[in-house]
Amino acid sequence: MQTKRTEDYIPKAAVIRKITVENSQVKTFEMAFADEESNRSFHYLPGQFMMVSVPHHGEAPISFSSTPTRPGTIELSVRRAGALTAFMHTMEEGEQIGLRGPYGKPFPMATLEGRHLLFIAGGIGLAPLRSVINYCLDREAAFPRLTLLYGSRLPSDIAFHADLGPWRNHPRISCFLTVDAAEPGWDGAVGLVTALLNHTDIDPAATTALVCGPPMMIDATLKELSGRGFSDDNILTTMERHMKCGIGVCRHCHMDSKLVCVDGPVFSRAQLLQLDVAEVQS
Amino acid sequence: MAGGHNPVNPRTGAIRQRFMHKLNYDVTQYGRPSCVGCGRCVGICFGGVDIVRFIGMAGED
Repeated sequence: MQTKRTEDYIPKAAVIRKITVENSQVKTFEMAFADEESNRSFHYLPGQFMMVSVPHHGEAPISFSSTPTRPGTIELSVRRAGALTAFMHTMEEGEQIGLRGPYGKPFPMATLEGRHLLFIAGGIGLAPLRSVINYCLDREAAFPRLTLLYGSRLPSDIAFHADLGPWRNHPRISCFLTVDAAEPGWDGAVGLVTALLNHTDIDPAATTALVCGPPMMIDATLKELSGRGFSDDNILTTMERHMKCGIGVCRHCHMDSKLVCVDGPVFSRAQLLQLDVAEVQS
Repeated sequence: MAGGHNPVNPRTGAIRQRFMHKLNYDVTQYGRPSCVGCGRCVGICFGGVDIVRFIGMAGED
């Protein structure tokens, strides 16, 4: 049996420093541990997640949307979906919250160096990818070219405006946005996020795709990328599951023989095809 | 889950996971099955879920 250290699964108090409203459903919480020593010794990588808890309201896994290259605080983007997240949306700056982690395998950033990275995000799926994008932008030499395709339901659902602005003007990243249904004042693309692939010139051999979004979108996008000549090892995605313990004990997040909390949440399409996974139908 | 979708079919997926984790996945992860083979669950189960029958059926495949 793997041994667990108690400090790995006991929540620590953190203070909410700043709350950013991203859209009607999503808020980004910037927080730091109450204890300075915990802040100094805290290390994570894009793609990992934290277990967030509030006494009497529950606990939920939330992935990082901030990058470890900007240390000091961590940011978690939370969509209002259940008991805990609904309560979090009523919290204010300065309040305390419980955090434990980080858990899960991160994106393999070392092996991605030098490659063209294609980010495909749907809705709140941009949150974990925002962590990777800002990580890559901060390490200029290692990641020369980035492309982001971002699909939302409505123009008013587009989140992370504070990042999208600088990204659009950044020389190393090209951004393409689309919405499912236009609203007055929207002059951008309308349609599925996979349709944006036609607007980009991508060499599948030199590119790695990082996909995150709702299950239907993951299924469609992984098929589309495969059809365009991406090898299954170069398509990475991060899976959503209801991780309860985060340390591979409770098996709530089972996915065939794998556990999303310890074997994932980042998986390549090659790994997923060997499993019986609801999101990936071959 | 947050998106309102259930990745595990409550009938087939749940029973498959119940027995496969005892007999197969835990052997890979921990080196031993997590069923000791006492058979008490067979007699007590109101739903008639029979792990011995499952092992037999899995063995036929």
